[in-house]
Amino acid sequence: MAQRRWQILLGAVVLVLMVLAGVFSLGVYVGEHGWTRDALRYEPEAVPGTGAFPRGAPPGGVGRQPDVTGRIRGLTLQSLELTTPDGPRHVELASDTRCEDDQGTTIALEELRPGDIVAVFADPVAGDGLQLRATRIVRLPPRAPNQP
Amino acid sequence: MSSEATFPGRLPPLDLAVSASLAVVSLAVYGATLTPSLSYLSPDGNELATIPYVLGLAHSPGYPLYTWLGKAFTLIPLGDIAHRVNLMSAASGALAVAGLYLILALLLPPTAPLRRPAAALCALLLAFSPTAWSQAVIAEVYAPNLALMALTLLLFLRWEHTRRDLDFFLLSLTFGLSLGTHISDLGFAPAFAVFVLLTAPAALKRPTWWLAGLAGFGLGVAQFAWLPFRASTLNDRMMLARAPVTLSGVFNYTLGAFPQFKFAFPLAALPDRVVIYLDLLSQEFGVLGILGGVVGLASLLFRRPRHYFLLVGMYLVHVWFFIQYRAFDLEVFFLPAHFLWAIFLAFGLTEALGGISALMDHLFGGSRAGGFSRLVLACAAASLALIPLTQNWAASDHSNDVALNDFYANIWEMLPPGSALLTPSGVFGYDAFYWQLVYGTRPDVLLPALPSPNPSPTDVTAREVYTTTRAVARDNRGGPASLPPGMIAPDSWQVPVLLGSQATGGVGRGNGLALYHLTEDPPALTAESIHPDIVVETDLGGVTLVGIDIEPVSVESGGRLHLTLYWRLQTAAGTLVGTALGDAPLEQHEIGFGNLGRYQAEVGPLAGRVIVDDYWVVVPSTIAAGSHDLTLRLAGLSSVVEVASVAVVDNKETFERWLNAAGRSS
Repeated sequence: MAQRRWQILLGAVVLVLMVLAGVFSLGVYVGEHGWTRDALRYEPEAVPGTGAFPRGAPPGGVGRQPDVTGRIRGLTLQSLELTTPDGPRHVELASDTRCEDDQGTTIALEELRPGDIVAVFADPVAGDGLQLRATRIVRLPPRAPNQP
Repeated sequence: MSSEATFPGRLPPLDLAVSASLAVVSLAVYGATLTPSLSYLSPDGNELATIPYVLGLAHSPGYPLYTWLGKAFTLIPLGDIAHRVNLMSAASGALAVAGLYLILALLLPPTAPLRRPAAALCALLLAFSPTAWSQAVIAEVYAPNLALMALTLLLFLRWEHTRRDLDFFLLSLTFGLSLGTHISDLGFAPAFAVFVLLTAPAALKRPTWWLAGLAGFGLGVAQFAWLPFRASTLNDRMMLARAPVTLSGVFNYTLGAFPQFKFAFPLAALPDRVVIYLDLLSQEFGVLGILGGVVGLASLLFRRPRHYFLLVGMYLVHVWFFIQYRAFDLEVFFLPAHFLWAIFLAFGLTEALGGISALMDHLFGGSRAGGFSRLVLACAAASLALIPLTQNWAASDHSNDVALNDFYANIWEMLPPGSALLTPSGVFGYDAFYWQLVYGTRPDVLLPALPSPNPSPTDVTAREVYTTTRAVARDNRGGPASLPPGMIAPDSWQVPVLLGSQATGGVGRGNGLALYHLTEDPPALTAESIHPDIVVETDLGGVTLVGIDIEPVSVESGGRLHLTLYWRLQTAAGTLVGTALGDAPLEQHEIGFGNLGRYQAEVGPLAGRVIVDDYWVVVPSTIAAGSHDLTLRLAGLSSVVEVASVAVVDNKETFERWLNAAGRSS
């Protein structure tokens, strides 16, 4: 019986810690992102500006669909950290990664800023999990205040 | 709370019958929504559909057991080889559901009212959860891994009851074998050790117990001898870089694989990662499911503390590892954790139903009305499984995902004799490799990346060269999803000759399905004077559709149409156009296939000339026989231009058509 009591006590501590870890993480997340699923949604998000497409067709077309779209959280010369519908994404940059604005004008990588919404055309760089290396980055227009 | 309930040891026939029924129901649902053959629903799916048939070596960590089980399924005379491997996922997913019920039947307090409906409901909630369902309808390792995990737990519970060394041997053997469906199962070992210590510490003093465990586990992991044995079949650059031909190579290929993904986040990022996991969990079971699971954890702790440490230990190690895993398809890695959460949820649900049942007893006493109300409650609980079934059906139903096979069936029919088809090497090339490796399709067509991940440009000298992967940079440097470097001349034109639509939700081909012809000469993108069969002359806002040629006007479903679209443009800016047949989208492409800018710079001005899009398009084999309107629509415009009526005939069964294209009769 004593052993069982200790097991339950220890198990209860573990359970409380699990719940605390979840609640703490949720608190940090809400503090950072607010009550939003922007950083967590798993549904594909329409690419702003692409408009409607033929009946039921997937967005994109030959040479047109970005591999990931999201808001820049962090930026270095080697990588982008994006907030995307699939959660935070890490995209590697290469020396031949091209950057352009939504009009197709080439821009420098340094012109990208945290908070910019970008569409990234990329290639996976590994098999079981798919890390991405950007080939082309398109800076999209900022969302209008009421745009979902 | 009561002391730990007596462990039943043997299951009543009713539980076995319920478990079998759950397997049948799950298998029926998975079978009805099964992906017919190849797909891009998983980055590795096409490789994992091919490797078992050829008994090759899959990407890290090799998946030997998966390969062997898959080989057994390829012997079932149903559909094509990929279909049979997909069936393995359906069957093993159904077994995992049945196993989950049996685990719950053994663990839930035998005196708890309505424990069977609670267990059945939680088994079905897992079965019809988005991620578990998605992995049970494609060729992947996760459903077989869940089945092995369920079997391991069942054998653990059996050994707990019998304490026989033979049962511990079987348990250890199954655990070792399960590593051949996903090596992350090894993370369960500490929890297993804790459970053994809590349950039968005396066993540790018996040499025969150690012998049984080590022999069983050793026999199970001996499957990894398959790696050096079949390492010669590897054709993936990354995998070859750590080929498992030495002991350190085997380590790097298995436990040491993908180091860049593991523990990839700093401490400060962990709260976000935990919330991502919680979000995934809520997608599987809902917020109520999370809360119910927490209640269930408390119930499990008080009712079965030793099993609490077993299951929570497994769960915590698994979640801790994968919240720090940097993966594109993160959700599938949490499936074992979801399996365990379904157990926690079942305990919570059992407590809730027990409380409601007690309330009913209080209200109705032992009367017939009380029994009837409990029956209604049981039926209501079990019927809750219909909610995820109906909610997730549309997204999980891939029974119409024929795009990839239709596309390649047409490619093999179209490619000229002696041509070359450039593909990525390794995992990402198996959409093409499958056909030649499994069916020996078109041996005259060279797949340069199949025999070697580093083909030479001289391999394709004097051959017409095609590719299904666009070159993204002039020097074509990229990841493994790119073409091998140096295979495309920097000045070659990439002209799509066959286009197809791709089902949504796929990965690996974000730009749709296209067969490109690589030519040194510029394509005939413009014409001065034209005589289209169908004159349209419709202004679509800066773009005028002048006319269109279609042949044939009667086409076999799964076949292809030859379209020639004639356009007049105000500017050379890319305009996206889509075609559809009836309600089925056929393809989307940019007018001029993205070549207009270069054409204007190198060949001549476009002003005053008609742009010609000349290509074939795949007619999906899911389109019903009959007459359908061929329509065009520009991106951003709601108006649809109906250009012609096309008769679709359906004389050949889908698999028959694919197998014919592969060079085999059905």
